[in-house]
Amino acid sequence: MTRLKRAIALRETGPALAAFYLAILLVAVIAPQVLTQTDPMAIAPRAAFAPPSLHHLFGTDESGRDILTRLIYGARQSLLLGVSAIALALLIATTLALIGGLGGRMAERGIRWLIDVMFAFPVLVLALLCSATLGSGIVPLVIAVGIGSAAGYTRLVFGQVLAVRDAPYVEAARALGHSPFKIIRRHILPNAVRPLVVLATMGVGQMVVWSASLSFLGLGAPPPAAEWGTMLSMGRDYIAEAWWMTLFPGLAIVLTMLATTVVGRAIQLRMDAGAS
Amino acid sequence: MSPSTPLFAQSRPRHVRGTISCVVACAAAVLLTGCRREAHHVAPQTPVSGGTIVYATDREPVCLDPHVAGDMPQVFVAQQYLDSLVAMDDRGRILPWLATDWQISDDGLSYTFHLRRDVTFTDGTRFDAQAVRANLDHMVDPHTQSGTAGGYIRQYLRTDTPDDYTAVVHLKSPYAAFLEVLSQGFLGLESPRALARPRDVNCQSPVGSGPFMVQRWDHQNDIVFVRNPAYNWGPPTALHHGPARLDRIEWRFVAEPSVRFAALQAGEADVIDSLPPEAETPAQRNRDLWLLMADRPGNPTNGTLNVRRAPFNDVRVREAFVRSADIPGALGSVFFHHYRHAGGPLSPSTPFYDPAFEHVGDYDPARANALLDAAGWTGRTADGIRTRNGVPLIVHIPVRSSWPTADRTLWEQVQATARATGFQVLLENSDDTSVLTREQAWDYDVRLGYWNTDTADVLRIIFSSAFLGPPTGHANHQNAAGFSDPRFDRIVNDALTTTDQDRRRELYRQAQAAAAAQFLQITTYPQTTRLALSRSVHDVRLEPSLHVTTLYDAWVSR
Repeated sequence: MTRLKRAIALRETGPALAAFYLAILLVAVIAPQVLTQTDPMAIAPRAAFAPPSLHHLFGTDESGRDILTRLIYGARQSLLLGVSAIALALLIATTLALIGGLGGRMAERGIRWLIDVMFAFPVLVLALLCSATLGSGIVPLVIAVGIGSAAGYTRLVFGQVLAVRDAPYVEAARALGHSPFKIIRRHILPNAVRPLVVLATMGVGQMVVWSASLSFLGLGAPPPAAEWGTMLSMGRDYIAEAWWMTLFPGLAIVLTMLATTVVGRAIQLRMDAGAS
Repeated sequence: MSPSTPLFAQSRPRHVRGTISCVVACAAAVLLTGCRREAHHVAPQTPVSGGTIVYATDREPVCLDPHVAGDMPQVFVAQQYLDSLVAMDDRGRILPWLATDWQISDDGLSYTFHLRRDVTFTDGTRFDAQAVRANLDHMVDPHTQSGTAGGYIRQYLRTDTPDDYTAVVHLKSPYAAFLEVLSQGFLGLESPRALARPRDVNCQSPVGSGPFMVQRWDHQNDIVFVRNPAYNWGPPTALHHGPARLDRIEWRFVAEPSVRFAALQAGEADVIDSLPPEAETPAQRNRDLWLLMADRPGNPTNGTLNVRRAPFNDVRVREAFVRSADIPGALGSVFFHHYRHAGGPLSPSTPFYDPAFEHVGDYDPARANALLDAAGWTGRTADGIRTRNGVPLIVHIPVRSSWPTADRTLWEQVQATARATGFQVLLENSDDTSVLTREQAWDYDVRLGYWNTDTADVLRIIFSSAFLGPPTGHANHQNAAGFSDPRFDRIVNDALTTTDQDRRRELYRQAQAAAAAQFLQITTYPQTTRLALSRSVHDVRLEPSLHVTTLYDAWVSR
């Protein structure tokens, strides 16, 4: 009995902690000045490479900027990148899936072929290709990661659309003479997209990682923007001397990935429980 | 000529002195610690032959033939397998090498070189006057696409060979820096038979007469050199005669600075170059390592301001920008106080360098603000950027992805300090090709760069109107400022017509004054060769012309 209780408690603690972390992140995104009074861009050459202390909890970087402050301000950049990229990926996925699912046999074949081609490229390679053609910066980065990761989501939504397309209630709606748009909006989309909520939540973390990877390679936000991947990249040269420059941005990325996955899983469990 | 200033240059007497002090220190250590520590790296007195050195460097050359293109990684490789006509000593004097002596005609238009008769290239070809002609012809041939060597000898007309061992080089116009540039590895002499092959083949497997031969080049991995057993014509700057002491050199490419330093500490590399600033203090403290460093002559590391478009077409805005950048402050934090500030257009180790211009552009935000007010940049945007007629004061700086992290940080600090004066500096990261394309189109306000050469004539290359267009076969204009001033052109051209050292000094003083008064660059720090070496490696030298590593004298004790 106690073991079961402990198990339940543990199962609840994980998601609670993850949700708490995400809540702090959300505050950092919306109002970073609530969490810190320091200017993330303010350089202080004399205070460069200061190790973590009471004054600088996470230490300072090569220009004497406070790492914690930059992580807090970087949350907006990094999370917005993640959320926008996943939104773009889902938009592409849904559009392609609807075209493929409802546009007749030729369209279905075409979309299947397109998904296969997109899958032939590893996500990061596809994203790098986009970055190379679009240049560096935030918007190209979102487009690159969004397009790069669209294939997986397209296949998923496509499957859902195909399953829902021939469901009895869609047949019924069709028989009742509803317009195709109404059918899509009222019947197909809600049913096809529901599983995506979970995936999207987990996907945000993945997108943050990919965005950070591209920023690490120098394709992200231009300096002096605080972006986690860029911070990680700048820190790596000093890893032997100033480990805090790499550790804390790395931790932020890992924790965000973990937290979104844990919360996503929790939502999935709730939804499954609700369904059964 | 002014002496060059090696910081830790090792020479034989100092080496012996080091050994003695090491013995004394070890004896003291033994007394104090009760024989806990073994005698620490007491170097054997006599050099030994044999062995391999692993040399880890940051950048891979695009071609092993230094005549082609002409970037710094190429000259480091070339110094191991090529010889030059003349050498430069550490006081800037020109000494014989493959040329035993020479005469310069009174009009400065012909140089008659008498050549050594005992030199052969490692493919068996004889070194003679024909070889000299083939090399100089090759450097100026547009197909070679020689930006550096070819750019240096634009005055070259032709070479006559009255006999096998006399080469008479004719110039179109007097060029007093000719011998100085000839001493650089960029103008090293290659086998004419090898040069006759297609360019790409020669890039891969060039042939010289130097102490080592290129055995293979495994791209993105390493170059292997082996000893040239017949070598008996070392430069006068060398410490010994005869063949090199090492059997082999493994010249490895390790781009990541921290990995390079870790490889040295782990004993996987014996010598690393481009020692990163963050590793310098640990390297100094590490008793298994020693450092070899020297400033390179030429134009210091800098951001050159494009005067061909707004806002830097106004000298007041240029001065304001230069004065709003706190370079000494930034150097202190980014380079851990290891790099000194170079404030003038020439690095201190350049011949005819004049310290009078060291502080012309010192940090002075008050003056910067006054200048911007006077230039009409009096408006302000909501976030404090200055405007004139509604146009914000924006400075675009394309930054190559290959530019070192520490230099990026340096410019981020310039960005921050210039912002306080009202400049919005945009550091636009991009791949090297995109940045080059923008530079060719003059699409920048600041271009980041440097120019290593052993002559004050560098001022003519970077600021005279002759270098506004793309040089023969080379992709980019070298006068990145776009500066064009007949008076300046006259000074630097006059300096080429005289070999009188006092006259040259005076003319180059005027040229430095003219360039400094125009605020054409934010100069940051002198380019330096920074080697960290294992204590088991001895007699590694920097060839004084450009302070490029030479492993001819080097040997290992294991």
